[in-house]
Amino acid sequence: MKKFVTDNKKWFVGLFVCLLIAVIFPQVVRIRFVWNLLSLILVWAIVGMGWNVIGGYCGQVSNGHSLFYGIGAYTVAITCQYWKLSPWISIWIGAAISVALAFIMGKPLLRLKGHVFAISTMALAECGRIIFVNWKWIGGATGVYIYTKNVNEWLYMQFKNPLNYYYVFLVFTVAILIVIKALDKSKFFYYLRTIKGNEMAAESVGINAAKYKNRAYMMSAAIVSIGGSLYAQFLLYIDPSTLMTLNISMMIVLTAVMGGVGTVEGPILGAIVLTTISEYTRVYFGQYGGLDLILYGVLVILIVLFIPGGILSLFQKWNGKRVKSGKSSEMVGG
Amino acid sequence: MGKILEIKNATKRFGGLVANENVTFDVEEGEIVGVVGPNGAGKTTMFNSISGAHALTEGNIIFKGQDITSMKPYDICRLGIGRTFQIPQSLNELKVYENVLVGALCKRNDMEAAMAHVDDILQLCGISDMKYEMAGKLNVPQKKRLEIARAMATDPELLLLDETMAGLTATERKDAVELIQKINSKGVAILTIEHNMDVVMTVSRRVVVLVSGKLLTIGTPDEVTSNPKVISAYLGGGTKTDGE
Repeated sequence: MKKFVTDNKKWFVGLFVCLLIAVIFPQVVRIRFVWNLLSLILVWAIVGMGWNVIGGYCGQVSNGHSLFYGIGAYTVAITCQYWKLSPWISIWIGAAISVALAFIMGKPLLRLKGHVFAISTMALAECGRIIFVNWKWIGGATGVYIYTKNVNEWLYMQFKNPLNYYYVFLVFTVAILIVIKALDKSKFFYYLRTIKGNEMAAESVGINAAKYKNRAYMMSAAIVSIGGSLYAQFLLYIDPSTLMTLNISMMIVLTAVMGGVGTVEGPILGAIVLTTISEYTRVYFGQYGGLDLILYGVLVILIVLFIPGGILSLFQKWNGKRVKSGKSSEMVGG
Repeated sequence: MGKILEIKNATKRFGGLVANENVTFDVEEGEIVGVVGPNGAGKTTMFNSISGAHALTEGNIIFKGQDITSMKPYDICRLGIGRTFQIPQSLNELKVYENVLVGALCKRNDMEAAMAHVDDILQLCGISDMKYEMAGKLNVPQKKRLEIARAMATDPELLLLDETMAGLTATERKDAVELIQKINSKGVAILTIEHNMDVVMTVSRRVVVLVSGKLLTIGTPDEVTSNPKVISAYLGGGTKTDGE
């Protein structure tokens, strides 16, 4: 642990600075809309980082992660409704359910490759959505209210002040980010990269591809599930059409892809850019019947067109120039 | 010397096509054995059967006394068989050292130990100066070296080399031969598929000749080259073993 910190001193200094900005910014800009936007960014950052494990590092493009998003959200909602369970506990139950499902479904699905895998995960998520829509016990198509009267705000994570959500989400985001950073140069993630690069070569150097793909899928499901749980607490009302549509699955993929596939910080950048564009276009152009979505789509296309390597690649390019011109002493690789 | 690899009556069929038929030979510890044969003789199929990419239809493959016939490739690698591919399968989006690192991690969990091993292997294979290059930027001879490096990083006792010389110039071939001999001098047995007769005759202690999936003969390079059946198979003299 100590070695991890000393090896990545620069990164941790960067993290600390960003964190400081993230903490102070909403205190300066005291606009409720901005506070909500910031919370949403963090939710998308978490699910983006989650998808990145299987989709980015391991190269298995899952188009059905809304399923785990939904499971996370529904677990906190249902357990709160029926048993008054605190989300601080049920978040982990949701993650465990997602992991179990990913383990079981991963066995057959991860044998599929490329497009077929992408399509089958899409089908899996759709199956999940249809089950949830028709399952009366969990509210069916009408959904579930999480909001409960007269409870401890902190114990039940039901805040009147939206800023509290933001700070709670920030803790989760940073924790997950550090876990991913710690794994970035680990045997596990190197194995995932090898599988992404060439499965045949991976097996020839002793990597059980099926096993590691399944582990990545489980980890990915857990993180996305946590994101879903937090989002549910933020909305305090959930239904299948806000959480489990194909649209959500695509947004999860887009966040990671736009930020930088297979990078530690990429999904966070993706979340910042995408969520900001999406919320502002909605506010300013939402009243013109779909114009906001058109603008959003055009902007996304433009970004993908001009920055195909993801937003993070811009920083890397800039950093690369600094290294070449000798302004930075940072070692390449190692 | 003991036998490290034994192939017993190996037959591999793909539907109606018989790629290997009743092939039997062995590799002794620390030995270099060359596998030669015309195109389509079933050399790579043989390699894929040994490394576990597919299972034999009939017959057995014994490695260090253990039957590995139906084992998975990753388990076979862990037992101590490394392999390269005819078409280099380098991980182009990773750096050279990372390509070797994933091999080194096969039998090591500690990153530092693995990195130290990577440096040794890069040195051995003569690609230390490309350590931080992206593997995708290497040319074919360099990629072939990287293939060997990655396989060697898994600490094999037997190395399967699939046409590591194809497409190399004469000087590059000479370097590659030196590398093979250097690896062999570390006690690693090598089974190598090779088209270039000069190379096979230089490095191999024994040569296996496959023709149309069948074992034509096995012997020292001199024995093999003076065998009339081999000559006619290579010069296309219409041998009976071709099934014509």
